[in-house]
Amino acid sequence: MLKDREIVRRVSAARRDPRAADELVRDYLPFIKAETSRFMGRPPQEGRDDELGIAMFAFHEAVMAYDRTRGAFLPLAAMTIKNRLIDFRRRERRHAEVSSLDECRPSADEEDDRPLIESLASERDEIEEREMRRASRTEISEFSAKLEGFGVSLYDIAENCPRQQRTLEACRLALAYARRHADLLDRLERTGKLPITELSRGSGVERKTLERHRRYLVALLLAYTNGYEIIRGHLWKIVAPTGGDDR
Amino acid sequence: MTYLIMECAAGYAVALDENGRFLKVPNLGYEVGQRVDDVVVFEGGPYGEAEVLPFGEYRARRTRGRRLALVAAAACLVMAVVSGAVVWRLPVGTVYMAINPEVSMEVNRLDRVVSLEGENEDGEALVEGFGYYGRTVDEVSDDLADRAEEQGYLEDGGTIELSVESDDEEWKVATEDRLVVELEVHLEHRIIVVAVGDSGGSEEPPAQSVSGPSTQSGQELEIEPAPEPESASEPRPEAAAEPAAPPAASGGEREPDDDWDDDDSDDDSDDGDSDDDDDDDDRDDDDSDDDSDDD
Repeated sequence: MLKDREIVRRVSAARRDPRAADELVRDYLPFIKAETSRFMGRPPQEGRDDELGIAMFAFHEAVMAYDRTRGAFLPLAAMTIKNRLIDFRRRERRHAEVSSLDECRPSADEEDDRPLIESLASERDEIEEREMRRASRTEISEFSAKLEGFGVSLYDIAENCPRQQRTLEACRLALAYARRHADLLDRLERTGKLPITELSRGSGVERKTLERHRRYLVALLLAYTNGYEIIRGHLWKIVAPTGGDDR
Repeated sequence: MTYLIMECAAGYAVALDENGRFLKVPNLGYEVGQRVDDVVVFEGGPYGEAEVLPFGEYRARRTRGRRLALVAAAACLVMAVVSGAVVWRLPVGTVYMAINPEVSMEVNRLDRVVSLEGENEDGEALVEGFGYYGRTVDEVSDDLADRAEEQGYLEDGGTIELSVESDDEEWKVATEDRLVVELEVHLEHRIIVVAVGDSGGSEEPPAQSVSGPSTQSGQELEIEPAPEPESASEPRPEAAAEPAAPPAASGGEREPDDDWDDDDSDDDSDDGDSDDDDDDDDRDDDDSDDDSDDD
């Protein structure tokens, strides 16, 4: 009983503070592992089985979805984990016949037991990639620090991101308008306030739509202010005027 | 499609896709700044399809379940009511009370009186305008005794005779005993209450000793003399004398003699009457049926 109250307290704290959520997930890793192994029929291996990552994600989802008036937390978490693992298994079944690069070649001789991946010629430049990753990391941490200053976390933005294609396009229209009027971007960077009225008037998108995705728009517009070349480079599809919208 | 990993936490990662969407995805060992070709994106909530079920369909399913529950509940209710009514209506026994006016009460399983009739003219007069239905047999007999006192049928030192008929021997004995005590206490021992039958023996030792060997038929027979002649023919003055007589007679006869002989002889001599008695009972039953139909 006392334990129940303790976990309810921690869950509600985790919903306000991402760091507490992280801690909660780590503390309940044994529970998550137990649920996962019950589903898989064997204990999951950390860093190797994707199922464990899925289960941790599901646990986090349960933390965010929990409502204390509707019952205990752990049964909800167990159910969420199971459901997500089922979702994941269905998704994976689509490419079940694709063989993994980490496997040995099916027709391999006994001496030649190297994984498949080693026999492929790599087109990627490992060193350059590592450099690139380091640069990206620096830029992203700057970006998220800036957002943090505006009182928005990346998690919030992901939650606030448009789900429908139509809404996404509306947000893109607003972005295009802001890019043509650089002063708007400047003002955003300086004040941290989104000029919704002007965006709405200029781009012809309904004000309500923009308001609903305010946090997402802040992130998107911020990426187009100076200094975030890598992120912007990643988003080249939006920028290109003829760019297709296919996912 | 490539995804740029923007944030990594234990429970999730935030990935930026090429369309500018920020996605919350499971963290499968990613690190910030990494580009991945595929992430696991779950469509819909973690709790199945219920969330996106159209409203109409949801309602339909719910009402179907509801209707079933409603029908089941209604069936249960009907059954409960019917069985309750059956238990209520079905008399388990009849209590005869003879002061001088004689009355008979049919009592159901819950010790409630479901019919009350006068067995002679005084009895009918006593019962007239008296609300009895659904009250406990104890209450009704107390009130009847009071009424009899008010109307001058009963005076201090008088006698009330009780007899109970039932197929349920246990109930019969228990009711008889209880009523005797109840009435005596209620009337503050001014009146002698006698159970005519056997178990009224708590009053009179000889009667109790009779009770041992005698069978059920024996008990019924003993009651006989009281209701039989009166209801059949006799006018009031005779009847007034009658009720006192049988217990006095039987008691008087028995006391000096040995129990065993006496009892046997009683049985023998009364056998002839038992048929009449049955007839009488049948008639009573018919009456009661009529009553219940009227109700």
